[in-house]
Amino acid sequence: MPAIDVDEYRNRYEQELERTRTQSTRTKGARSYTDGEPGDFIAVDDARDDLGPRVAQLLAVATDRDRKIDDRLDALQALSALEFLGARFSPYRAEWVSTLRTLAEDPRATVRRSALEQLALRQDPHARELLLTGLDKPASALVPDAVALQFLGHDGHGDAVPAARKVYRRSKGAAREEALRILATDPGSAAMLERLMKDKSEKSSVRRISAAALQDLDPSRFEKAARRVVADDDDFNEIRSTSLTGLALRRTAESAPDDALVQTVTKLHSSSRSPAVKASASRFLAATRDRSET
Amino acid sequence: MTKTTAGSRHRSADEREHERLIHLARQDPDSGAALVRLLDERAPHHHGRSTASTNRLRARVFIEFGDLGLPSAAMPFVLEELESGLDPSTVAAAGRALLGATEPLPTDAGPLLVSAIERLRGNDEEVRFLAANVGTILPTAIEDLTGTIEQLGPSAAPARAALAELLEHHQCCFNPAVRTRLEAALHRLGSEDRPPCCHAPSDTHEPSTAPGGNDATLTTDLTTLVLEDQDGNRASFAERFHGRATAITFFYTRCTNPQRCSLTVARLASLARRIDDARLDCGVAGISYDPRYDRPDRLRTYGAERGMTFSPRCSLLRTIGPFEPLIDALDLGVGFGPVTVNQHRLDLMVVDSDLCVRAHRTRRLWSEDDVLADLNAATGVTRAQ
Repeated sequence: MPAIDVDEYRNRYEQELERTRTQSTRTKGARSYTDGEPGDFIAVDDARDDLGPRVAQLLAVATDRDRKIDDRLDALQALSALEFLGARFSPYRAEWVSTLRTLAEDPRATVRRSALEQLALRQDPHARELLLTGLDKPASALVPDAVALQFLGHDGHGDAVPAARKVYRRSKGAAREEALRILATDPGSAAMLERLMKDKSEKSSVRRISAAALQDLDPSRFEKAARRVVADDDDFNEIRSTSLTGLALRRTAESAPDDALVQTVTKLHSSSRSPAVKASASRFLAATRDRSET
Repeated sequence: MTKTTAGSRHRSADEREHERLIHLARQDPDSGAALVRLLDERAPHHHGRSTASTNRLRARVFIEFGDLGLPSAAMPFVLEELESGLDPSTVAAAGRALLGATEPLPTDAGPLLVSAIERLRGNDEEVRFLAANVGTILPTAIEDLTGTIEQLGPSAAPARAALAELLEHHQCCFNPAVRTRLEAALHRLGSEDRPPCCHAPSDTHEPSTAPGGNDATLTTDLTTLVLEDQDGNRASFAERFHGRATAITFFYTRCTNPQRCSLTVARLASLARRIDDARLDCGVAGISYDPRYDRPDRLRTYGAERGMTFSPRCSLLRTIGPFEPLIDALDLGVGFGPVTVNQHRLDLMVVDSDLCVRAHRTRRLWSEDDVLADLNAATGVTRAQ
């Protein structure tokens, strides 16, 4: 994937989001649910409605293995939306969670994934156990390793770190990258993240994930590594751009003005042909000017 | 409404280990004390375990107390869980532990059962400490706590006002079956609150003694321990706290229980304002259990979001280097999982200007009034000397 300026990326993303929103509104409007359809609930909701019958109906659809998969997923989505009703949904919450725990082991992969995702968002211990068991014994895994790690990443306690270390060692591709994202919560992994960030033989995505993780875990360590990467004309544009952006954001009190680094970045700004590197360099130089003015 | 059932459950290695620990404790000649030791956050069997694992063992031990009898040494753990526990199953299990009490319950036990129900309203789930086969209907944590109140009956009479209020203001949060049971429980509590003489007094407001007894002077190792504040300023424990009475408490920014660390720091901020308003020569400080993760910028953001106005008398700190010396010197109740804290109690202590620990409050939520009184006492003691 060619490098892209972050502002341009943001614009594209916002346009895409707007397009999706418009499509989604159209789809919902065209569907015009008839009574009894899973998604119907949201349209008919009213503060005076008794949620009981509707919740029962949605749970029945979600757990009915003979129903079309889309109906079941719609029912899950509708139940998930009902949670936003807060206190009104409270009487049904326990049953909803129990249903999700059952569906986490459903024969249909998409249902399993949807249920596990919703449980993971609430850091459910049952789902956590299922996901960790799957990482330990891949033959019995309910979702792919990368997905399991993504879900386990909702737990800020880092309880999935030991499993992430194992996956990191044995995997390639998406699972390895998700493992790194989990290790980003572990101060004990800072040295490894620094090594990966500087390793030119690593994939660009791995290096950038490592840089972002290190910046959060140990800013001083990140700064040292980032300076080295930025000053290395043989290194790749993506990681140089990421490092520069990180340095621009690092505005801690202990950061003394550094003429050598400013010179390096100024030179890079004028010599680089990469729009991403140029944009990051501009951001860094602007941040440096702001800092010196304050 | 028809209940669905939880997915099939097979015992994990973790659960088998818990079975073994419980079995060993039950074989002990003093099984009550052995079970209480299983709750100790610092015990080796908790080390390296996840929060979910430590919660599961706690729940199992609480259930044992309900069956075998509740030793008085276990009561603080039970009340702590009811007051500020987050995991619905563990909280419900703590409720069941009260059923094993042979002595009168503390006056706040009943109200804490009700406050636990209120707290779990938006977070209810089937209890996980009962064996479940496919098709089994398990009670939810709220149903289980309601059952506990029903079984305690008049023993939980001080809960009457709180339960009546819960039913009056929050009945829409419960399904009809639970509402009916809560009403039945209210009926079982009796028409009037029992006179206080029928219940053991609560020890909520009484600090425990300092480690090694009152007037415990901190060890040399601790006084030289280096602490860094939210602005990156470093000073030794002695340099930071000598010369002024200080309320010191503990927290970590990754704590997911809003009733523990978040509330502790918010209350510390409020306490600091009251100290300023009263122009007392005292200070407050919070020290992180998780020093490698809680860097100064995290401490600053976390405190500011909870109302702290930082000054030399009001700071959030981390150790430079390991946290363990503080655990040993101050007798802190905290255990660590693979990366960070897996279980901790509430610990607040007041040290006087000579670094003697004058009060140590553990497990229960503390009130600002009580800590202000501790600080005043510590200041007075210092002056008298």
